[in-house]
Amino acid sequence: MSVCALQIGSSLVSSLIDLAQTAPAEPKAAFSMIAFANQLLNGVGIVGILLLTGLGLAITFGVMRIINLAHGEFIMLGAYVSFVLQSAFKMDLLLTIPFAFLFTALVGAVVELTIIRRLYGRPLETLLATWGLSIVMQGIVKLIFTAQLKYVKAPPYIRGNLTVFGSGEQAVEISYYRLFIVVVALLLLALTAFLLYKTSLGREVRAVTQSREMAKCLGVNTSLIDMATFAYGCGLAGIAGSVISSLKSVAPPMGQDYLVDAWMTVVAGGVDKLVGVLAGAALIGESKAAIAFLLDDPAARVIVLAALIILIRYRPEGLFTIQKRA
Amino acid sequence: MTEVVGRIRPASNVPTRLLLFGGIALLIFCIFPFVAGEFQTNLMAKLLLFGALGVSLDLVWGFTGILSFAHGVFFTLGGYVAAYYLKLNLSASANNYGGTLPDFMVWNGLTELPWFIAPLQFFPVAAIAMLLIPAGFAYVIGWFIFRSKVSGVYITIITLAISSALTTFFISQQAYTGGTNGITDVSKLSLLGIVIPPIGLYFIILFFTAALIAGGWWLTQSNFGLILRSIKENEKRISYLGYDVAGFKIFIWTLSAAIAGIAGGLFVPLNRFISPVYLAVAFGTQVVIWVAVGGRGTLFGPLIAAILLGQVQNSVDRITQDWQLIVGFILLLVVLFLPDGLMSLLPKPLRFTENNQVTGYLPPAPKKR
Amino acid sequence: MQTVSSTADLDAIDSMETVLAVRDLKVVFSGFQALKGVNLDVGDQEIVTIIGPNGAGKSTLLDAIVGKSPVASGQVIYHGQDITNKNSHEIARMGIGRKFQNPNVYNDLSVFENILLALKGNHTVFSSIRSKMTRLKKEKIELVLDQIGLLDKGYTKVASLSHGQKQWVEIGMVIAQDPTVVLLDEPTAGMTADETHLTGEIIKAIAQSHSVVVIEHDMEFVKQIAQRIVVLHQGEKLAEGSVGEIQSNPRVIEVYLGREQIDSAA
Repeated sequence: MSVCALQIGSSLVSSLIDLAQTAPAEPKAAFSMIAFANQLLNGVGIVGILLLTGLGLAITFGVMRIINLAHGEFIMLGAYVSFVLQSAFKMDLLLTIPFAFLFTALVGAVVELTIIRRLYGRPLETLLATWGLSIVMQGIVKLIFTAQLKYVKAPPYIRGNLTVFGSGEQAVEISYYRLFIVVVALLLLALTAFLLYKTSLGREVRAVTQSREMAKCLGVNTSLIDMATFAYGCGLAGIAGSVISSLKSVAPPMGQDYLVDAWMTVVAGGVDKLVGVLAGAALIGESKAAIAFLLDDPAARVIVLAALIILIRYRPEGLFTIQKRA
Repeated sequence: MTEVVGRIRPASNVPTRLLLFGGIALLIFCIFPFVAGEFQTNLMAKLLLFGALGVSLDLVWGFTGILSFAHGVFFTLGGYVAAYYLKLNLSASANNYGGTLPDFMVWNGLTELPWFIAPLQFFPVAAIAMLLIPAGFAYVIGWFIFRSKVSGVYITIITLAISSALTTFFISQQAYTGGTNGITDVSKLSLLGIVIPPIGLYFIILFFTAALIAGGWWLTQSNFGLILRSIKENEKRISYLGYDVAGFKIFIWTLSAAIAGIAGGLFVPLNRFISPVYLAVAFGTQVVIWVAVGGRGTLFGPLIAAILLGQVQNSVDRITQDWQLIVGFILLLVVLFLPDGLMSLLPKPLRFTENNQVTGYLPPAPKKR
Repeated sequence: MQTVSSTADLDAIDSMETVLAVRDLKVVFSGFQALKGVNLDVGDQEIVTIIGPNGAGKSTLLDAIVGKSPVASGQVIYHGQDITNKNSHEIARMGIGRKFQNPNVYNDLSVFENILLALKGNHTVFSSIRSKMTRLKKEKIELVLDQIGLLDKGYTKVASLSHGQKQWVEIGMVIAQDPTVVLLDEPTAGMTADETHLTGEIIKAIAQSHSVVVIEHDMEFVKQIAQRIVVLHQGEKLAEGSVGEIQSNPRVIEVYLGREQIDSAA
């Protein structure tokens, strides 16, 4: 058995070596500090996306322990809201963000009422049901908008690149759009942390997740809190979708890619503290960028995943979680 | 009945009704290809393999409680092994390039067969690799995730990530895997120099599936099966009884991957190609749906569901292209309203879910204390 | 093999035939010290009863012994071997059995199957696949069922039993496991007075051939079974001794018995 594992392993390694050997043949990919620095900045952009897409999960899973595999589809919905508003009313992308939040939060509330609520305390069932839901949501969006790729335009004031240093061919730069994503992600993280830890509403949310019965006895409307929290998490996904909509194209299956990465972020960082998402995003985003620079994107995905599987063997709670009793 | 010294024979280790129903089902499947025509025979053979794949997932999910979206991956790894074997044994005249090098390798500039693929041209190597590569891959993953203390949900998400990462990886390695198209135009399977006709392939597959069901029954009825059920209900408790839970999980996980790999290996001579489509999460989801719809923890449920849904899809595909939407609805509805699947609609004796190890014994006469 | 810190301890172990020794055990949960350096010796075929108010760290002590809670510092020594932070299945295989506070049994399985799972034997993957049901095994299981008074319930699902009966099923599991050291966490919780007394007799029978550690609240029950009592309070050992010694210990009266007396007076 181990022989065969070795065989797979070595075939993987050998193809990676092949890749590494062919890479220098292309002049563009030749190793240079400038290119590497650019790739690290590119990584900052990836970190922003991971943080943005993972934040909603940190709420629905981290705080409420709901396994939402339809998270990617809420991102997709947010992107479609921006697309519809932009193509119908020529709206600025930034202005569509609140609508994306409201619409996806509304859908999230309906989903909580009709599906999630029936499955509290049964994580695997919730996982399955939301997976079914994700397929259904993709199917419905495909019925309405077809499978064709849609494009959302970024506003002119966040186009172009910010040059960190150097110029021309030697410039180290990051696009304003990626910076914008990072800024939005950090702002949302701060806002969410504030809501959760500094307001009475946040206190009620944490009370409900720690002891539903006790919170009920203290007069907290637990079912309303559940619904609102889930809706908020979905709304965050909607904002993520809206913000990243003009990064690539908008299409029904787009959520799937973000889903897996968002979950990896949450798994790596641990969910007991919101800051875990930031740590997970930073870790995964930068290592992906670095490996993709040395090899290629698919290899980076495989290697980061393998690293993650090894990580959970030795740090199952994620990197930023405290030891708890039982 | 004669007394067996030292060992008690359960009243009915294999209930008569199981032998009866199993026998009738086997008979119907044996007659089927002679009345149904080639298209239906091939379809049924495919669905039997899908059913077997469902059963392999059911062993880890329904019986042990580990939900995996990676069983399509194990299936497809076995499939790629078989595809390499069949591709490399294409006669030189049948190959577009007259040589022994597969067409997709020629297109991608390879001039010789990579050393790690070359051994697969020999039947014994391929036959063993078809089972060992998925099993070895599963073993390595299992060693890490089951020895860790992460909960079941994380494991499911890891399997999702494995499926998605391997899909992109296989697509990116065009020269070795044929990229998006996969390995196409493979030769027909021949054994001992004789080309196996479709009906022969059907019976090989039927034999495999029947053997799997019988073996699965034996395994789940054993003490081992009882331990799997305990792990599903409460895996911590059994570790305080001296059972190495991770060891049991790794074993059933690896075994199940090997079964999925064989199913995948048999799938390729039937399907005549393999591609990353079968690695993708959508296919892994299909497998999960067969088990969920059929009934978790039942051996026959996944098989019945795979055949039923496959036949429905075959007829619906002519009307609509939105099969995925229907699949999503089915999954959602089953989880919410029929958690134990179609098998739970049958009367209890026909579900064959009880563990006969114990129900087979008569209780002793109650003693006064 | 691990050497014990001081020779004085070694002598003590030799003279007492200590089976299980806990040395300066500390357990920490996210900054909270659940155990602050506890020592405990369990001799051969001895019943040690642990009492103490809620949150004293009684269950945590057992958790740490069986590998459920990670030990921050200190040692658990079993037959002279350091078993601190070993995997729970390894500890169980060495001969330490545990019954949990709330009956931790398999509700979906029959009583017979629960006992069968626990039955002493080779618990590896391959032996469980090969394992056959034998007359010997069946008789052993029936013996256990008889001992816990559930012989006529062997084929019922545990889910349909009463709370007290579930407690017995778990005690039966520990008996079937036949460990050297039996750890029982509140075995009589939820039992009637009669059931409690019967359980006391079962535990005394177990102690004929095993070392037993029992956590209890019920003082009547403690008097019925106790040989040596250990009082835990806020993660530390407060006192140790016979029933009489404990009852007359002023510190114990102050933090534990005293409060109970006040409670019953109120």
